[in-house]
Amino acid sequence: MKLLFSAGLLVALAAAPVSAETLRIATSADFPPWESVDSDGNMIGFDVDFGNEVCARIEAECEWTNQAYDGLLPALIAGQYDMIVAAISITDERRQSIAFSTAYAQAPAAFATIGDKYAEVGDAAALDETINAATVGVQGASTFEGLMAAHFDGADARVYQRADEIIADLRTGRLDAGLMEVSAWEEFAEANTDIELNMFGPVLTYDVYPELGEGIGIGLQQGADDLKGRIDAAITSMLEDGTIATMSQQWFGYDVSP
Amino acid sequence: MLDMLSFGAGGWGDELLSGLAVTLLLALIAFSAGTVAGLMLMLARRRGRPARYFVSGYVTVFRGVPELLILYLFFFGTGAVVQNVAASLGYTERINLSGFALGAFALSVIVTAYATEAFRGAANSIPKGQLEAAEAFGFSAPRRFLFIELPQLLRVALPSLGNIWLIVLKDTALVSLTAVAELMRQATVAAGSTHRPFTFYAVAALIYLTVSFFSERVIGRVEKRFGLKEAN
Repeated sequence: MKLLFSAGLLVALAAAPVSAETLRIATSADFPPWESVDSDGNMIGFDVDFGNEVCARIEAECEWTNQAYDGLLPALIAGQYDMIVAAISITDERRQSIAFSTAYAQAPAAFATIGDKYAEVGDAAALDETINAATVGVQGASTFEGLMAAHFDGADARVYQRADEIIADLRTGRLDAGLMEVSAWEEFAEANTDIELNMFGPVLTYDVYPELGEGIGIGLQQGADDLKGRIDAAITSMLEDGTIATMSQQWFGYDVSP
Repeated sequence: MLDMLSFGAGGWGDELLSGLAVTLLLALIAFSAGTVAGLMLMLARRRGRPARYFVSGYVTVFRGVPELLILYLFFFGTGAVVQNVAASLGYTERINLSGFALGAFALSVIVTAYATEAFRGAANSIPKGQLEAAEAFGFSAPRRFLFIELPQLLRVALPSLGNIWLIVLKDTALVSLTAVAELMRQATVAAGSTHRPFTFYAVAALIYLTVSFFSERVIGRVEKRFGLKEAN
């Protein structure tokens, strides 16, 4: 047993220390167009381009790791990464355990369903009434769960691990509607042409639904103030010179700049 | 659909295959390290009461806590612990723990607990008289174990060990929570990136099933050759 222990530690430690200016970035590359993997095995997406540009502007070398979304925050807190760039909404709840850069994107959310049964839902009041009588799927460990509890507590909100599971249950009819980012709906609508995915009601934004967070930010370790300062400066310059707007057009077809 | 699974630039076949390689490597490491450690723990158990309590405690803890929880503790707990220990020794450089090493270690710890119990049960099946006879013939303790006990013990333990192998093969999927790109994680990434969850999860299931199927065949052969069936 002792032998096993020391052998295990040896292997674990063999992955030696890294020089100070190599930053470890993690993402969960299964959420296009934010981040995904192409069939060559390369990570692609808005966050990947954005993250690389941030690294270039702060003159750091970046090492990307692709890992499951659920483990991102715990791993950041445990010190295994310096930054997480994974379309993470800035919320007060998350602020208790990690730090955030300034927002680099704003991702509005919307409800959607299959077919046009909610096509006549127009304003916020109609949305309230409709959703409170519906079974709605939201993704777990995400901000939408809090939004449902705060604004639509009459609804039967079901929590899913992954966005594609919500699509699957919309197909089977277990769900009346789902709640996701607009960009995610557009992706799914494109990939599932056999069903008619339609967004309905007004688009949900931060000013009315603060649970959505103040935008999308880079997750950082608490106390990494120096790094946060440099990253914030880089993001500000990228917003000013239109770099983020250009990347956003390329990946989303519209501007996600906050 | 088939072109999605092709190899090379256009398809996900090569990614899934590399995932399978990582899965098999994880399972092999955990299984071999765990069975050796399990055998040692089973022997350690005989060294008086404190050792016996320690081993029973170990077995109870690691069989009684969900595998997922053990993996979480290793992944997100050890980083901080190792860092603190290193800092207290005056080593302030950043230490990168490899997810693969931690995953293999955590799985080994789990296999060890199950293997210890498998070996203990097998050892109980060997009549005490044999060992007493060996002692009377002047066999030293290590030789008694090596030549009399171990060969018989292994063949009794074979079915349990085969069982443990199949369990650890599937438990490797839990490591997908971290940055290790094993089969399950590759399937998840492919499913997310292509919006074809059913295709890729079904393929992953088929791959696991195929490996399990051939494992069973091999285990069956080993049992037939060395196991109890021959003795009957």
